[in-house]
Amino acid sequence: MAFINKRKMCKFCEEKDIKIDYKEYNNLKKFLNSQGKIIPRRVTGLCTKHQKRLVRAVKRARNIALLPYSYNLEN
Amino acid sequence: MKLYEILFIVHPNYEEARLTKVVDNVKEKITNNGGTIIDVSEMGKKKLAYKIENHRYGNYILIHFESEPQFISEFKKWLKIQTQILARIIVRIEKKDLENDDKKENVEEKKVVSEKVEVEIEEDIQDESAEENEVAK
Repeated sequence: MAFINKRKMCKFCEEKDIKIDYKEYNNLKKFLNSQGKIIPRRVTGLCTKHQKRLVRAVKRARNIALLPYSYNLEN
Repeated sequence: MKLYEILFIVHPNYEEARLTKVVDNVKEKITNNGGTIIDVSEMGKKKLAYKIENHRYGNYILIHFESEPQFISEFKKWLKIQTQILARIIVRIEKKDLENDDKKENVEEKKVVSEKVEVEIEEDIQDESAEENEVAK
């Protein structure tokens, strides 16, 4: 996984061009585990602000079927 | 008046004519209730992350519009009744979200324009060299 270093700075704080948007669901996939669950802040290393926005975006994307609620149900 | 964005999924088997009809219906509903449409874009036919009413695919349509907040609850109820629309989501957006998109588009347009200019210049050079050759002959 890409999130080994715990002291890493928040990815969205470093690169301000990346928008957290529920329509760009491919960017959000990095923050889901193999089951489709949202990876917690202590692992992703995101700051409070951006983790909250990420969670909101993922939930919106799930609502409109861009992201799955669970990968297990599908198979 | 506040800015909103609606993303909805239309029945996958609809061909273009029926699809535009559905979109026009939604647009009419907004404009008839005092709203104004800013832009409409199609995200195309996509595979759904999970089945909705036993459909695996859906046509995604995105509309930015401006409207009074009181209209939204009625609009949501109306959307639920429409059988051609499988799922929908309405989100409040800020003005800066729209402006960012415009800026990106402008940058792309500028790039295209500059490429065109370069091509024209090259053509001019070729013409001139051709003329010179003729003169030399």
